[in-house]
Amino acid sequence: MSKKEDTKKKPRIGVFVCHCGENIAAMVDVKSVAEYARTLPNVEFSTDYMFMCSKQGIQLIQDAVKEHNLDRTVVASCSHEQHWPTFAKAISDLGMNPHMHTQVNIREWDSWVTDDREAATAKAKRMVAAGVARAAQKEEVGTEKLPITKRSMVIGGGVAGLRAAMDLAELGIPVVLVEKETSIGGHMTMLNKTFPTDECPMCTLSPLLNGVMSHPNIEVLTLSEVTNLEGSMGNFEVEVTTKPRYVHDNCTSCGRCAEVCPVEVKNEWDHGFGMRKAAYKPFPQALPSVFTIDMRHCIDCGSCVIACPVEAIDFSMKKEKRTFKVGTIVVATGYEEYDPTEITAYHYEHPDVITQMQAERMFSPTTLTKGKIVRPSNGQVPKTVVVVQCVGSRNDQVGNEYCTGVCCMYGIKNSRFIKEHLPDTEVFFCYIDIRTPGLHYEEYYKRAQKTGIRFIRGRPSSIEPDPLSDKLIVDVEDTLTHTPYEIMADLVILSAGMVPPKGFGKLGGKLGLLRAKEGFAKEYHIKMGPVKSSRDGIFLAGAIQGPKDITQSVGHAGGAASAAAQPLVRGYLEKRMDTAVIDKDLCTSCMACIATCPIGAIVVGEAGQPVVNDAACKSCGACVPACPTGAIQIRNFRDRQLNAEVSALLSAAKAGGSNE
Amino acid sequence: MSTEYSFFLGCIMPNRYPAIESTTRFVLDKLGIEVKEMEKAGCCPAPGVFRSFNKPDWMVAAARNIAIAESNGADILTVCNGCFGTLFEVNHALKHDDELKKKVNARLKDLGYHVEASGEVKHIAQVLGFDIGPTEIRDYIKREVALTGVIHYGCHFLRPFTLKQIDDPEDPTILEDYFIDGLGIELLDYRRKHACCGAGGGVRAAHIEASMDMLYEKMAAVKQVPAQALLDICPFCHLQFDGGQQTLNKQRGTDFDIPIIHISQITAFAMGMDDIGMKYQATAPDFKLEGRPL
Repeated sequence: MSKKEDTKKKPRIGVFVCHCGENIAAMVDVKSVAEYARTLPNVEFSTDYMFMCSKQGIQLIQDAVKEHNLDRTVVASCSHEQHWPTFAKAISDLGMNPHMHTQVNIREWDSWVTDDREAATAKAKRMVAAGVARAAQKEEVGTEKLPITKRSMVIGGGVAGLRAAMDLAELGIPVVLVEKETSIGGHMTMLNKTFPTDECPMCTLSPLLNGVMSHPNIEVLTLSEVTNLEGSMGNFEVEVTTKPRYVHDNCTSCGRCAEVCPVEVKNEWDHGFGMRKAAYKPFPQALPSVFTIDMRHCIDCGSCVIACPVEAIDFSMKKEKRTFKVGTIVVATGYEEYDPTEITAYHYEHPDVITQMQAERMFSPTTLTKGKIVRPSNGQVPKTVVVVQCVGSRNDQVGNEYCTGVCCMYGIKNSRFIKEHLPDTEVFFCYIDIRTPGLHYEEYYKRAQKTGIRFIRGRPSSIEPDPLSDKLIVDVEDTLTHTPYEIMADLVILSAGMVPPKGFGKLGGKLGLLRAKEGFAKEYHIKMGPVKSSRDGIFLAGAIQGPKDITQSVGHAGGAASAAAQPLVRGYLEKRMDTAVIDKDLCTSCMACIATCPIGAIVVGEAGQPVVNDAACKSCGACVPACPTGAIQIRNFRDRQLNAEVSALLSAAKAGGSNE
Repeated sequence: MSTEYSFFLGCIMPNRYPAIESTTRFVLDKLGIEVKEMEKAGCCPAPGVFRSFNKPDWMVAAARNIAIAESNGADILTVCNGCFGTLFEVNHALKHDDELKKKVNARLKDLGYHVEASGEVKHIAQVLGFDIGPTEIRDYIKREVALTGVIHYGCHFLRPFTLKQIDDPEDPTILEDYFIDGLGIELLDYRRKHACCGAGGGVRAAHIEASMDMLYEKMAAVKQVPAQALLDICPFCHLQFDGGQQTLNKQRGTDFDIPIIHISQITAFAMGMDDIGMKYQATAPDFKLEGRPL
């Protein structure tokens, strides 16, 4: 009874027009908009102010609400996304329902996109009229606390994934770490040195590797991939498929199986600079410290089974599927090195043309060359080395316009490494621009210049095998001196850019993530939401969001872990209920809404009728026009509310003599 | 592949190397391809110089040639990289830009022509090397060519790749496949194989010294390998290599003497024509090709 009276009570609306400094006031006559607002139905008070979002502005709104007994507020300023929460909180602090606040965007939708003051002012008036009409129709919407699963999943066990897993675990959150390779550690374990300190990457990484492996809150799943995802933020159900290792965990890593294994193949971890057996561990410090049988190459001779002293090898192991309930997910699937094969002018198929990742492996003491710098074709020491920058990045022809940002530094690092070990070898460094932003990076470059590396500003037009010798001819123009060079090189190292990992499309599709046109996972906001993905509850860590060096990846991962931990530490999810709601009397259970919902937030209920999962609903409204009976509506975006807004807009336009 | 072509002669071939024209006609005849003459065809006009100075007029003049071919009802065939560059590009532009076509036709109207750009523009090396191909050409040849040679692709045959899509311009194999597998020729790789001959883009006309520098580098690289001849696919490259060697010998005291053979000439020889006009060339007029039974 009393509720019905409440809704019939005449609304008392206050309108607050913001100058936003000059952002709005320079183009819109804010005073006349505020005056106009007072003439609108149900408006009891209106005013303008320089910065509504300032402490004083908020105070002004709160005072007006109290003084004039307002029950609804309209702020004409910036976007709903930006400041609705600010003003909704201002009135909710006074005990009002936050949904009684309405935001009218006269900045992005008006002053910023118009250069006619009169037209802009007229438009602001129409928009305020529409906003006021909508405010009068608004309903109180509650906020619900939804239970969540206190566990997180990290996908990808490179340095970003490890950091994120560790940070979550240290906050007391159980973590499932999913890695598709046999070992954790990712690209960092393949590197020889890290810039700008020339440290040993394994030395710096292994405390984290060991820490993750032994942490009581972390469960590490190797040889595993996410194969399905259901649910929503707070309550995801993730299906993980684990490939068989054919070796049980009681393996002591003694290595007898590899000694007796007769099959030798290239070790993927070494990028062509190392061999392994079909029974193998990709590198000595690999974790988990358990061997793996590579069934693609195994000839089933059984030697390893006989040799194993602890009977760990078991060919009967099968693929396993497990489902995990988790509250949040961190995606840290990293990057891949660009494959230069498509740049045919560079002849990457030639054995003496290698990428930087291959160079890292060649320089490492554990591979075939035992850390010696040689020409892969004949094992001799190279007398002339050419390093080529921007291979596959900053290159429109291959479709990668972006700068990878780390190649200048690792290119300089490896050039220096060569120069230090082979002082008599000429090293040419061909670049477009040197990009060394950040503390200690430019200093690193300057030190490299003093070692005698010859820096040539120019992108080589071709790298061709010399038909008359075993050298490579590098054609490049030094564009600073306009001098064409024809360098007879023994070894060419291509600084290939970072690209999204192959197969990420499949995982990204399962997770429902938006991707940028370059193929990396798109962040929520480039400045204010760099670790949030397009989907609630899924966060991004490291190079999957865009090219990053180790420092940046680790920092980014820490941010992702903190964001992923927030709801789990809080223990519940706060959900504004301006979501879809179904009128049971009108619903015919045709399921059109289920088919339309882009994120699967509507499911079939126990009685066979559609039910909205409030936690998952993003209030996008796609289901509303799909419903043939108008049974499904979004709270505060109901047909009658939108009709009121549109009618007010049209009558304001008519009254103002607008021909729009 | 078409069974008839409008044969676009261009400038260098009929004036300087008529043997390239006669061998082309011989080859087309043997392949059963009907040649339709292009009445009143003009200059292509050259893709480097003319286009750089006046693109609209260049397009209209080229479109006029295309219109003539269209009135024959047959696609255009060229034997020259320059003609191919211009006619292909203008034809492509007209095909994909109706506004441009309207403008060009407005100007052609006064001359009594109308262009539709409905057909294709082909290069002889594309017809032989791809449309017929190295396997099928063996059905038409009477003998293999006993020759160790080097090849030169030239500029406009493969570029711009995004439009032409004949072969990778950075690392092509279409001519190697044709000469080695089709005609039995042995080919050698040499330095600067994909470098410019030095003639195109108005360089030969405007900067003869620079042009000769480029030619010198190229010929010096050819001399480093034991090649009996240089094979090309363009009369302008042909002129640069053939005449240019003599210029270099006179002015710089070099002793270049590499016979230059166009793809039409060598194909005609393989098809049984003995006199392919080498005696009319400036360099190595006495050179005789040797055959080898199939």
